[in-house]
Amino acid sequence: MIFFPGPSLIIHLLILLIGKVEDRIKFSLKDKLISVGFLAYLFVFFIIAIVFLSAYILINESFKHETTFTLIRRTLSDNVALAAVEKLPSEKNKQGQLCLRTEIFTLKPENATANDFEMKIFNFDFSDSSSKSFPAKILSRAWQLIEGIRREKEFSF
Amino acid sequence: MRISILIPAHNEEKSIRRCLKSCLRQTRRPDEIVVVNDGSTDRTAKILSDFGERIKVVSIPNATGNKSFAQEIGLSHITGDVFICTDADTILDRRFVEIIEKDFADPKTAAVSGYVKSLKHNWLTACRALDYFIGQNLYKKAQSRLNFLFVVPGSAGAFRTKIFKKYIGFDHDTLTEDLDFTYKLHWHNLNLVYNRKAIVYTQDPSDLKSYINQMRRWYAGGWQNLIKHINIIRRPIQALELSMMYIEGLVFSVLLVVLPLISIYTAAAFLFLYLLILPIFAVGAGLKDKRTDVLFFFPLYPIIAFINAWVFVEQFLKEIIFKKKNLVWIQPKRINL
Repeated sequence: MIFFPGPSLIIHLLILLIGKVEDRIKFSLKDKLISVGFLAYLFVFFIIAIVFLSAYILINESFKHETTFTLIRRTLSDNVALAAVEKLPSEKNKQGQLCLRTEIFTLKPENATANDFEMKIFNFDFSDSSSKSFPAKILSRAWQLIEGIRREKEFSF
Repeated sequence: MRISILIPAHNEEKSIRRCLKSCLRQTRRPDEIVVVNDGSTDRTAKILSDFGERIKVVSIPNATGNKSFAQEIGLSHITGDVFICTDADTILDRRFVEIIEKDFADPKTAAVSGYVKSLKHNWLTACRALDYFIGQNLYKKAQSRLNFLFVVPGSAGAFRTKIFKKYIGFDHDTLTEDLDFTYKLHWHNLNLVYNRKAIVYTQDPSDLKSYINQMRRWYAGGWQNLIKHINIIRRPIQALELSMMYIEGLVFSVLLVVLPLISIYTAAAFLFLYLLILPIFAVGAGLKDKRTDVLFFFPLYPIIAFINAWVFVEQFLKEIIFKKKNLVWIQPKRINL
């Protein structure tokens, strides 16, 4: 036997309780209640299984969310990430996209620190960008660049 | 009514003397005590010879490797109408035989299951005492109400000899012969009595290695017997009890093992549930079984629960999924009684 705080604990307690009632009123409830009890047990058991399965799925989903946000947060400081996200819907100008690309891509790792790089992005006006996927791509690339600078590894644009 | 006691013994020098003394000091003396010395290489034989004519010793030169072989040989020497099965590391309460005799006064009684208490030693035996308390005062008591006892323990069981020889016998194909006996009793619809006044005190593993080995044997035997006796499920109550023991056991065991890997918070919530319920049972064990050590050590019970869960899943995989049947018996490390 393994003791768990599960349905079997409740069912065995109920059986004992029914037994006590039987002793008092001298009437056999047992036989009728066993079949009902078994169905109730299956029901409770499946409810528990569903609850745990749902919990697992939710935990898993929130973990995925967490990963996306963590990526953005790790890419830039909190303020920069928030600013970037806030600007997302209003990006329009293709020229702005090119400007940012130029700003980022002209920044050479050997001449700049990670902090300098983050400041460049923070000061950039996202509202002029045109492509919706642009900020995400840029942020992803920016993260690679920052990580590269931090690790002091060589990389090319 | 003649009552015999059957004790298999393999290297039991540390405990057998006290076991035999408890058998001889009964309020109702047993008519016969048969000890099977199963190839012991320690001082067991010498200790047995000290008891002289008061016990009957059956010696097997080479160890059989499984308790049920020794029991089978011992049974052929039993002359009693009823025989009590116990272990060499177990002490019978002074009134054990007297109480058992009263239960067998009813001719319909085929077997009696007694109440097992764990001897006090350390935190591990305190946790085991809590396990026994919950198992026997809640689960087994409820099972008794439903006429479907899960097991007649090997250290505290008594059987009507004729019925045992005719319907039960020894198969040697599982690691837990007591579970095998019990399922056969259910298959033949024989009358089984649970008497909580028939008490024995048993020596449980006091170190983790022995504990894990014992759990491996119990759970491997459990799965082996479930497969062997799956046809005993004939009524809803049997389906209910067995599914609670095995299916629920498996689901919760997997949860207990996997939860900490998925989410530490959910695992903590599960642990909290344990610590919410356990104090109630710990107080019960402290009062009823007079085990104050359980009150101190019950917060460690989740460790035991985790080990149990791990071993339960492990043995399920071995016995059911990979079909690697294990029949090797590992004797737990004994301490002086």
